[in-house]
Amino acid sequence: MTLSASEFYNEITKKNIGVYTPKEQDRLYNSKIIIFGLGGVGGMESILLTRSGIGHITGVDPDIFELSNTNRQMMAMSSTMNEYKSVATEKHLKDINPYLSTNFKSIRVTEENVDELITGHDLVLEALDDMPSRIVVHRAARGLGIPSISMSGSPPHRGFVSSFFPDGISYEDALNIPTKGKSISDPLVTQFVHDIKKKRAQYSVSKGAPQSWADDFCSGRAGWIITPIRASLIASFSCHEAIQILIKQEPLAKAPKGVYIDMDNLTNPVSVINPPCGHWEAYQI
Amino acid sequence: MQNIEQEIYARNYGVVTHEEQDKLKNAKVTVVGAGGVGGITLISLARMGFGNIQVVDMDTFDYSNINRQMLSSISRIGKSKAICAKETIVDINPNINVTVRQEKLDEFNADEIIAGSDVVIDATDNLVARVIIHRTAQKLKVPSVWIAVTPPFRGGVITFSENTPAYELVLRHPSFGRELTDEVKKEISVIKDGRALASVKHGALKSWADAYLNNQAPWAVICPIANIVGICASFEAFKVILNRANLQPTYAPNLVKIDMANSNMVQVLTPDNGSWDNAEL
Repeated sequence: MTLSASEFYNEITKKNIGVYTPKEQDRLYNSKIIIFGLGGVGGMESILLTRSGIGHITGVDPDIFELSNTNRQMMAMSSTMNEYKSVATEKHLKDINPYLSTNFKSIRVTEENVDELITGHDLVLEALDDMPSRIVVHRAARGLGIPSISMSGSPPHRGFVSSFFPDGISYEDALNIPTKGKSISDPLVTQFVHDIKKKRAQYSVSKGAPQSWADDFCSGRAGWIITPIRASLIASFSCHEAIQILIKQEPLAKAPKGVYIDMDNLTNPVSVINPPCGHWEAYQI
Repeated sequence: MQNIEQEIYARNYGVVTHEEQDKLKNAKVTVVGAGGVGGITLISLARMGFGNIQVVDMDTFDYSNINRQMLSSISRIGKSKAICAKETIVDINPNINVTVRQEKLDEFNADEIIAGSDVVIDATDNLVARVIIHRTAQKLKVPSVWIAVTPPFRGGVITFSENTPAYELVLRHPSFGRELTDEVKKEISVIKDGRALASVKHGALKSWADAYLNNQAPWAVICPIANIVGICASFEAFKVILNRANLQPTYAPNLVKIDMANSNMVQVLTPDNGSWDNAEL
C-alpha cells in the first residue's frame, strides 16, 4: 500500500463525512472498544466498527469456527473452519484496516479476568450467548464506570439492543434478573439462568417459533435457532448505538429503553421501546 | 456435500422448515451491484441458503468503499467486485452456483440478465439503471427489490412485482411511459440532487450537501445504514421465495422506511396518495 496511515484513514472514512463531522470522526479514531463474543453478533460488530473507523478493538472469544456457525457468522467460511474465532477475526479486520490497533484473545471471560480485560477501554460491547457471562460483563463495566451495550436474540427474527451507563439502571434491574449482589456461582443464580433459557424458548413459540423446536431445545436435542437476518441486524443496531456513544451524541436506546426487533411484525419491525413498569423480562427478549 | 449443507444451515431449521430451505436452495436470485448494499445482501443470501446467485457489477474495489462495503478489503483493492463476491460466496458454501457478470446493466442486456431469475435485487447507485431494472423485471414478471440509502441515518426498501404499480409511478419519476432518451435520463439523474438537499433537514451536514451538488463530495453513507438496508433487502428476497401467507414481502406502494434517528427505526408505511416523493427517500 502506497498511502500513509493518515492518508489511508482519510480515504476510507471520507464517505462518513456529511453524516459525522470531522471532529466526530476523530473521536471514533481515538476510541478503544472491547467486544465479548465473536459469533454472529460480535463478529459482525467488529467488522462494522472497523469499517466505521474505530481506532482500537479488543476481542474476546475462546471458541473455534464450526460448520454450523456458517449460516450467520461473518468470519465463518470454509477457509476459516477450525480456526480460533479470535485469530480469524483479527486477520479479517487487519485486511480492512491494517493500521487498526487490535488485541484478540482466545479466552473465556470470567469473574476473575473481567476487570483486567475491560480496563482502559471506552466502551464494552457484549455479544455473548450465555446469561451468566453477560451478567459478569455488565456488572464489571458498571463497576469500572464504562458504558456497555447489551443484546439478545430469539426466534424467529427477534432481537434486542440496549445501552447501559454507569449512572443509569443496571443490566440486572433492566432485565428483571433476580441475581443482584449474588455470585455467578451461587446455586440460585445457576438455577435461574438454567430455567430462563427454556422459558425463552417456550415464549418464542408465541412469537412464531415451532413448538417442536422449543421442546427439542428444552430437552437438549436442538440448538438455539438463528438466521443471518437477526444476527446482522442486532449487530448493525448495536454498532449505531456504539458510534453515537463514542462521538458523544445521545444513543436512542439508553437503558431501560431498548431497540426491539421483530421482523415478523409487518408494520413496525424495529422500534425503540421504553418498557412498561420500567424494566423488561429477560425471557421475552 | 449434502451433509455439509445440513450442518451449514442447521441453525436455520425451526425458523425455516426443511421444505422452505429446499425452496431457497432451488431459487435463483440476481443482485445488481456488489457494493455497500449489494455486498451484505449477497453474503446474507448465501448464508440463508440461496442456491443460485447471479452478481452483476463492472466496478473494482477502491479505498473509499472500505467504510461500509462488506466484500471490500485492502487485499481486494483494484479487483473486480463481482469476482470477489463469487470468491466469498463459494467460501461460505462451495455448493452455491454463482454467475458472475462484470458488466453494466443497461437497456440492451437487461432482459438477458434478469430473465430466469426468481427475484432481482437492485443494489445499484445509478438511478437510470434502476429504472431499467424495474421496468424489465416487471415486464418479465420477476419480483424486484428497490433500496435507498440516504444521509444521515435513513434508508428504504420496496418490493415490486407484476401485480404492483410500476416503480416509476410509485417513486414519481418523470420517465414513466417514455423512451429512455438522453434527455429523459438526465431528468431521472437530477432526482439524486433533490435527495441530497432534502437530507439536510433530516440532519445531514449542509456543507456536505452543497459540496455534493458541486461534485466536490461523494454521496455520504455510513456503515450501519448501508448494511441494515442490505439485510432488509435480502429479507425481502427471502419472503418472496418462501411466499408464506403471514410473511409477505413489502409490496409497492408500501415502503420499509428506515430512520435510525427516529424511535420507530424501521416501519412499514403506506403512502397517502399511492406514491412517494423520491427526494424525501
